[in-house]
Amino acid sequence: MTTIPGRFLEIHVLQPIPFASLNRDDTNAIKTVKWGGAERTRVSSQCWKRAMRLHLQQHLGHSALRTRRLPERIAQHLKDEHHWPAELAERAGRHIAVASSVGAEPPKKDKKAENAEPDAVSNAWATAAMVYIPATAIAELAELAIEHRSALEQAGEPAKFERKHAVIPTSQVDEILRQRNGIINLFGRMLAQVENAEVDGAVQVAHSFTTHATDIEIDYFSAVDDVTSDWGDTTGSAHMGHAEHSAGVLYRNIVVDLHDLHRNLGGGVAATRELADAVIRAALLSLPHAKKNSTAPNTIPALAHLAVRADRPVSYAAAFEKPVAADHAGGGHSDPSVQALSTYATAVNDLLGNSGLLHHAHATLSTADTSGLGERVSSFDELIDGALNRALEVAEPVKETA
Amino acid sequence: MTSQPAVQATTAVLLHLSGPLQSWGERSRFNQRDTLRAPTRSGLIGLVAAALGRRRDQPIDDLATLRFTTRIDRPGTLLRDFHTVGGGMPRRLTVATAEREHRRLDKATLVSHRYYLQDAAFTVAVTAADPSLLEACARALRTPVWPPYLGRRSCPPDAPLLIATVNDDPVAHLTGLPLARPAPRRAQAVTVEFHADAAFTGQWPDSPDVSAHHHVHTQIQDDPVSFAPDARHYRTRPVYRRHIQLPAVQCAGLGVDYVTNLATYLKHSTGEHTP
Repeated sequence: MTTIPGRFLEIHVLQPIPFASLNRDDTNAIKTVKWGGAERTRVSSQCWKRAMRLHLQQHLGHSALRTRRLPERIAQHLKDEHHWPAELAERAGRHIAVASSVGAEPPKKDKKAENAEPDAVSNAWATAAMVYIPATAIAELAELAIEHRSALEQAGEPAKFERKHAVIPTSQVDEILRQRNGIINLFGRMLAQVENAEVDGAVQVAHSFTTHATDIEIDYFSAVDDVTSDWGDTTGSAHMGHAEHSAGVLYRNIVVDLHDLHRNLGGGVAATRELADAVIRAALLSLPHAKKNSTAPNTIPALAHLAVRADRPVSYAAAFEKPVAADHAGGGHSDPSVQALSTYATAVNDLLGNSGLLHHAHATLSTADTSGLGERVSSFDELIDGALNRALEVAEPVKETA
Repeated sequence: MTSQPAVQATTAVLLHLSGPLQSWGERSRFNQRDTLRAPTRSGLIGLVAAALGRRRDQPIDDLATLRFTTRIDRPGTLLRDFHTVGGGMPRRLTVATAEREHRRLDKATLVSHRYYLQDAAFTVAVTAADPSLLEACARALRTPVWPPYLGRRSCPPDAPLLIATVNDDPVAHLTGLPLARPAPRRAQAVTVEFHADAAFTGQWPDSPDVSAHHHVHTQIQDDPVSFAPDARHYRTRPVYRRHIQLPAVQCAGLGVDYVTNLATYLKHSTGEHTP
């Protein structure tokens, strides 16, 4: 395996978010965090990580599925793509789930709901735990069913359907469930039931928070009743409610462990570069889409800063521990945040010494001082290329076979 | 017998644990993930073990000799975070209902309440009888195998996590290092709380009554025996606690002010190696 000089790639983002509600809790309240004595708006790490995953799926061309409804998905594939009769296709889905190390769960018999409408979801078998697999695995599992079609046709419906009744070979099912794709190599996978299926994630995402104190706004709203409005015979609305929103400049910090990614991929530098490139783009350009139709918070970062280090990852969250004050000359929170990040980066890199910092650069439209953030480049493309050129620079270029 | 050894042995590794969120669980079970008000011994040993690249099933016996003395620069407050997971556990492990049954598949989404400590900052002196162990820990934190985090992976520490390694009295540094908090407006002194996992030793200021050093404040179950997933085990250990008055001028402020003050302290104090 080639050694790559860049150990950690840090992504630091300052992103203005307009009046929006990207991440809420069980009471519909905006998530917050207190930092430096001031209440900030927060977007949880897991919320933004999901946005990154969906972005990667769309742009990488290979998608992953997190699901427990594997038997139904396989059955659907067999019916749609291979014109299997419904009953046989469903039986194949069940047999594959039961054969896997994950195990299968029968639909729960709802005693109280005997008279209720049959519920399509709860009447179907599911895997006993959520699986996380490349989407292409569905077709491969279906192929496995096709291979064993005659056995499936002969397989009866035992009173109690257990693993010993499955006609699909366990090892072949597990082998397909062990497959990885880019997203799994980036974010990792916990699949304890299938041996050697676990992958340690290479991407660390911090909770993001506003660089300044925020007030949560209560948005009171009412919905017009069209009939009342047309007839004008009475007053009142059809519905009233309220929702919480907030606005601010978020600091986001994401770290890609390049050595872990490189190891997950089995040592290919070109593959590492391709995935690192994709995940940086996802980090910069993804957005949780809660309330997207009512708030359209489709912003891009006001500043993106990439640092490549050979020693340890560094968070710049403390740049905003003292809440940033708005620039009353008209610059809002973005420029003072950029300035605070630059000042803090200078102080921390002086303290730590620059030996571990292999490369840093930034791209921004801000006119604030960015002298602590390395070279200024004109585009995200240039920013990403510069960081990856330095991080993955290999002494002897290795020719990789396709 | 030589009067001065050529190279002074490392006596302590000094750490700064701060970030918007930290979480130091002691009794997390199922969907209630708690946090204590200060870093746990298991959390700190885990931090070092991860930096060393130790897997969970590897022994941590050597790290058991580490002692942690924690200065609470800012205590922080509790934050409850609402978190959902779209199923993901075998049905028999999901939360049981009052009828001792399990949820329907279409309602299997697990909801968890995760507690964090927000806005807290700690200064920790890591000590051990073996200087080479301390040096190995410092080296690991300088170039960690896995990125360090404060109890949960989504909680990276602020820089610097590793303040310095020192070869003189750790207590002098622990009481003398800049405090990561804003200065009070009027008071001349601030009361600062210290926790330790062993009786306090060394030259503590402001303490004519040495018996307070040996007074056990409480007990917690956070002394790790093994992190192995199938054999995770923690022992109960005592918590020693004391309060000391420190001059208000030692309050170094937040963010860049703290880092600048820390750099000045490290430049002027002798016997340390910067991070």
